Amino acid sequence: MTVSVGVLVNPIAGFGGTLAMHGTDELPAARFDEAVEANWAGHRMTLALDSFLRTGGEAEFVAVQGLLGATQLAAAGIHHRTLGSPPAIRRTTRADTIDAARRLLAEGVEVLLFAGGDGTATDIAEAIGTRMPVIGVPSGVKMHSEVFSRSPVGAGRLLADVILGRASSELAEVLDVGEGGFSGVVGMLLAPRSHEALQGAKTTTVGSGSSAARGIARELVAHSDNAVTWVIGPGTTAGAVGEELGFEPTLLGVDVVHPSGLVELDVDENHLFDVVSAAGHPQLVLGVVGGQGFLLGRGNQQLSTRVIDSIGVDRIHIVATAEKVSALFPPVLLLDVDTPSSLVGYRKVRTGSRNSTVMRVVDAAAQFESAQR
Amino acid sequence: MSTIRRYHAAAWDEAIVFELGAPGRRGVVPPASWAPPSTEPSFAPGLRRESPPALPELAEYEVRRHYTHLAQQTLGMMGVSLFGTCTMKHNPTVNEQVGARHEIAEVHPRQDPSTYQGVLGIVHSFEAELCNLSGMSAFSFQPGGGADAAYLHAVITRAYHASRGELAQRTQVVTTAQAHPCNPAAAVSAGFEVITLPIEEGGYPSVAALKAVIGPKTAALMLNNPDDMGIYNPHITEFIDAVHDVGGLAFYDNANFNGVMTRLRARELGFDACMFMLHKTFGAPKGGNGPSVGAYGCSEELARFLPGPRVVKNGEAYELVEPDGSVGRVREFLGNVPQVIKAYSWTRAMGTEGLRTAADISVLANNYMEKRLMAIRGVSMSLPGKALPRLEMTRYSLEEYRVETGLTGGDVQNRMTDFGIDAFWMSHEPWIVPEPFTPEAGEMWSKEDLDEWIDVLEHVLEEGRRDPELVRTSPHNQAVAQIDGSGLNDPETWAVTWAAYRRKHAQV
Amino acid sequence: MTGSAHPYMANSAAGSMQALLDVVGVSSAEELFAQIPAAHRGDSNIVPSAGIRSEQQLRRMLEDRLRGGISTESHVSFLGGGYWKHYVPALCDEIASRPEISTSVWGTPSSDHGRNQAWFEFASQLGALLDLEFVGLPVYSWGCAVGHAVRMAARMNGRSVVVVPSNLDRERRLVVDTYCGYSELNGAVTVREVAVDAATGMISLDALAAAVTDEVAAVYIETPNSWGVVEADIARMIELTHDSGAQAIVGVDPIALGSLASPADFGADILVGSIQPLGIHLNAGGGVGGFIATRDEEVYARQFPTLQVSIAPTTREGEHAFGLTLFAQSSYGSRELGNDWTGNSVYLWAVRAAVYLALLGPQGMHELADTVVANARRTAELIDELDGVSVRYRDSIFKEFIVDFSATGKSVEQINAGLLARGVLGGHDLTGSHDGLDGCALYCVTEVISEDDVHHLLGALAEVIAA
Repeated sequence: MTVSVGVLVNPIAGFGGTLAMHGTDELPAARFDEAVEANWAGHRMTLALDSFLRTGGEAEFVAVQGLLGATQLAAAGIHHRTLGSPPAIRRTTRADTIDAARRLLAEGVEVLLFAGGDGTATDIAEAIGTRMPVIGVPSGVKMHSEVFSRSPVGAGRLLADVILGRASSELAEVLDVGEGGFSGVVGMLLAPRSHEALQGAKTTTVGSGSSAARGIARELVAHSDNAVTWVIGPGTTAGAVGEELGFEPTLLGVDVVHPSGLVELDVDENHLFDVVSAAGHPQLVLGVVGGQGFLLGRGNQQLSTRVIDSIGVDRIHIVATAEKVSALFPPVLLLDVDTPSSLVGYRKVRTGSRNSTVMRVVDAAAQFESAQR
Repeated sequence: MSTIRRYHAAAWDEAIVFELGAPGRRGVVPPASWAPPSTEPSFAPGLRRESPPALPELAEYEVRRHYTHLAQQTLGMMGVSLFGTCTMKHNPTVNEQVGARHEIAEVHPRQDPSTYQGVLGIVHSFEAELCNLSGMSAFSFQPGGGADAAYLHAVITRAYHASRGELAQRTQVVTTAQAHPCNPAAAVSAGFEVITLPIEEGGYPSVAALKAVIGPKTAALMLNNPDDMGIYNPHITEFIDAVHDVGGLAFYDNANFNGVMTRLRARELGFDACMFMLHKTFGAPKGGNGPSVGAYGCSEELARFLPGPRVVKNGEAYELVEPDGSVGRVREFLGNVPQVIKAYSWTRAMGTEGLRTAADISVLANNYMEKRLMAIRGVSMSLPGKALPRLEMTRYSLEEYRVETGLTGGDVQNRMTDFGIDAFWMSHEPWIVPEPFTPEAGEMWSKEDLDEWIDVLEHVLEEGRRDPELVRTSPHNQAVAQIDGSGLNDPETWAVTWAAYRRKHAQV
Repeated sequence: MTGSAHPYMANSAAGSMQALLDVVGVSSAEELFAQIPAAHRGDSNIVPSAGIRSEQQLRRMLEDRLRGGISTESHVSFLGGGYWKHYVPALCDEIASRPEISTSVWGTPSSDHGRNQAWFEFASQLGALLDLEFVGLPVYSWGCAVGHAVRMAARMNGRSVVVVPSNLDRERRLVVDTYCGYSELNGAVTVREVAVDAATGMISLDALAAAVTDEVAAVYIETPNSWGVVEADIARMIELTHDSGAQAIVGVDPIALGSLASPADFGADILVGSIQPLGIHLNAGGGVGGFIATRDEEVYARQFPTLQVSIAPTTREGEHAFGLTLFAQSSYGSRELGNDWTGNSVYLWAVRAAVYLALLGPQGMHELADTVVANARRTAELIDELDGVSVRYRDSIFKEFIVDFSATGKSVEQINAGLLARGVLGGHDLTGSHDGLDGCALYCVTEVISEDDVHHLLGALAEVIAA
């Protein structure tokens, strides 16, 4: 059975890296053509599709007309179907990416392959959310979101696994510079994970990802009483505790569940401080943000030092999937805070209902200085 | 680069045993009963089988030929296999022959101990030798492998804390990310929670991390040292002291004993218990995955919890006893006795000096390999520059090569088998470096064998640069081509028996 | 190393060693142990012993220690108790001794293809005997198989009691107790005994019905049971178990299944047992090996703690290979999140069992079972005729049976000592194992026992009892 695969390329992605521009979000208009000419993302997409075609799955590629996919596929000689007429403007924008992703979804494609970076992932998350699985071909400058494969070849193989039914999808956090200029979780995508189990080969572990998060949540909630005021930090792992408590967490903000059962979503720092100061038994569930291991200061600035101190270190549960923490070497969690935090030191990190690890929590600035030495 | 061997595995295109033979053929015919024919019904109504079991029907020579073909389609250790973490050893034939003697092979474990004193005496002597090598006071050979010995430790930990009235409180076992997966798994199976210490910058977990998580809930520490990267945690005694200070037990998974034989004794480091794998370190064959023995050693204090039966010497006689605080059994009877006898024989053949030489060679040969491997483009090592020189293993990575060519360690591994080099071990979970591979030179293989292994790796990496498809689609010279594993985890397609296969894949 | 090289170590030859030292750039291997702090070293505490490099001397040393030992070959043996002497076909020894097989470690589906196929054929043939399609590769022993099966059931239904027969063999029972854990810790299962009816030697159905409450995760039954009796109402027991939502685990003797229907045909959920009778020597206890088998249903398959190989296509048209299935749910794949734990086991015995079942075939297994039961019942009948000696349940046994010597005024220990002096290994002493068994022994008779052997036993027994 042929699977319909949407292909989306951010034509200027990756160009910013060489200019130390930290991405192409603010690429000067004058350099747009230069970026398109470099065709970095198009090249990476071609590598991924070549890798996929070698494994020989049955797929039909669908791309929107022009620089957001069809042009690059045509140049690489990859057979595909094209949607619609060329965009009116030559220079593509965020809005074009969002529009293209929505058109592919409307066209009924079953999985989307895109080449870009965190910015592109953010746009796609805004466009389609978790309505179809998305594979990121790493082609940007910043790629902290969980949707990216390790290499274009890996993305191609993962696509093959999806088409062969050897993959299942899980929520993936999209990280980027969000509103207000801080970076953190800005959206969610559905990302496939493959289950390859050849003898002696790396396998996807059971009980990882979302099921581990559910296990942690069940254990935490089961060992608490009705007097607890829950503070749920951003991210899917912490969010699972919200689900266990019976509400849908914002995932991007900090939510509070009062002993009365009252839920407050996405609270700000001032209110949070009032809440935890007044609470008899506050408990904070704190996830680890992204591939760099930030615990505070990335999309959760609401959890200020005074909020943390008011809750108390012993009432803070750091949660993360084993996958996420084992990718961190050295095993360090970072704090980006202005004032010294009581969280600094070795802290237990729950990775499952019956298992945990321990990681060193450090001030990111101090860590940077020690790395400089 | 030296010449690469021209190799091809036997490829018989051998059918499944159910496809062979024909109705009515006989392999081995059992004797008829000597009892006079009975007229009574043998069993209660309805208990008899209505139709014969759907087994194959082959003449004896067909069975012999079939399984000989299967043996020929198995590489085993007949090429060069540097399967790290498994310590490939010479398995002397004389031990197989001695083990097949009736005084061992035909002994029923419920015979009176007085009738097989020779066997029990050897088991006892070997226990004494392992006590000598580890400093422990007693050993049990009942565990059926290293993982089972880890389980026995978790079981003895339960009994120890229960005997002190502290079990309900002591629910946590601490291990490390580089400990074999069986350690945390066995601990959880015995009812404990697991706390895993990560590997830090120096290549091993820190004492500070340990101290952050131990306390009145701590039941035991379970770890290896050196680990599978050949890294020795120099603070191990502080680990043990810290765990003892909070009332926990310390277990030494001696899976990586080969490089430290005759240099380190578990008990003197402070461990309460340890484990040796007789099918790895002590020269007994692995048999594909056992019969194996995880010899579990412990202190005098823990010896009373050991499972029975234990061999003890009373005057001139060897007797079987149940220790007074015994945990009972982790498995029936005395253990895989023939493997114990093979290990004893191997140890006597080696002598103390031989064991020391074996450790010397295994560490020296690993460092030799490291010199050569690190000169190969695309190969890097875990934690470069740290914890040098490595002991009997080094963990490498093909990540640079993968980035360059898109080929994975699995691809390279498959292609190496095309030259008679068996699979390397990648890494136990979790993977600390991407695309890992872990060769272990050991003391058996010659310098020429190690060179051949490295030459083949280098050759395959070059092939992959020239012609990635050749490597990706390998093996090409093996008994069968690359498996299509896509259906292995799908209940609609997996088939672990022929009957399931026939049912699910009826068209074939 | 002084003097010449050691035969087990190629690089112990002086020139080879020196070549390695030269490349590494050290003068002695000792320099390479720099990671280990001096204070940790225990070198001087080891009492040295000399090596024996001569194979001839080594063999002589071992043989001198073993010579004169008594075995089931030198003596006629009636020992059993879940561990039985059956004939081991010569071909089982030959194939298992082949060095490709005996030295294999892990390999790839291509490089160790033949061994993987043998494993698949083990599971397939055992499955044919059990009438089940999902069979794991072997676990350490029968008792371990029971323990894992109980834990599988408890994970499936979240319950925490297992019901076992009161006469369960002590070795297996102790293993089950260990696997069921301690109530202070997580995941413990309580072992609840169900009485065996002394009149029939079978589990009492009334007692079973009372024991199987809604906390029961699984009922474990054996047939033939630990007293050798074939349970007549196995179907009803399985039904009772299912009525309360528990899993029915049944322990079987694969040899008996040559002529008995598999309990799977009566609805048993998980079958376990020993592979030792399938071509594996007694090995002083080192021949134990267990199996776990279920219907090929995902809900069961996902609970196996074993490894298993599945047949799968290769990239070459029409060709098969065998790869690990559900590897990720083992502890190798998922550490402490896996099902129990997995490690080296007794897979070489799987190869023996595969050869054994291929040799015996359907007719062989059927004839063997018939021979065994006929020999055993006839022997039981003859022993029962001895003065002061009686055999229990002899019309419903398979190959083991209880011989009651209590009326002879002699203990089993005394009788066995007398038998030993007459070249016979008497049955396993059951004194103290269960109420009403003082002065009783469990006898095992299989195809290896000849009519002469039985007359030898009868003569010896008569003498010993009269003495």
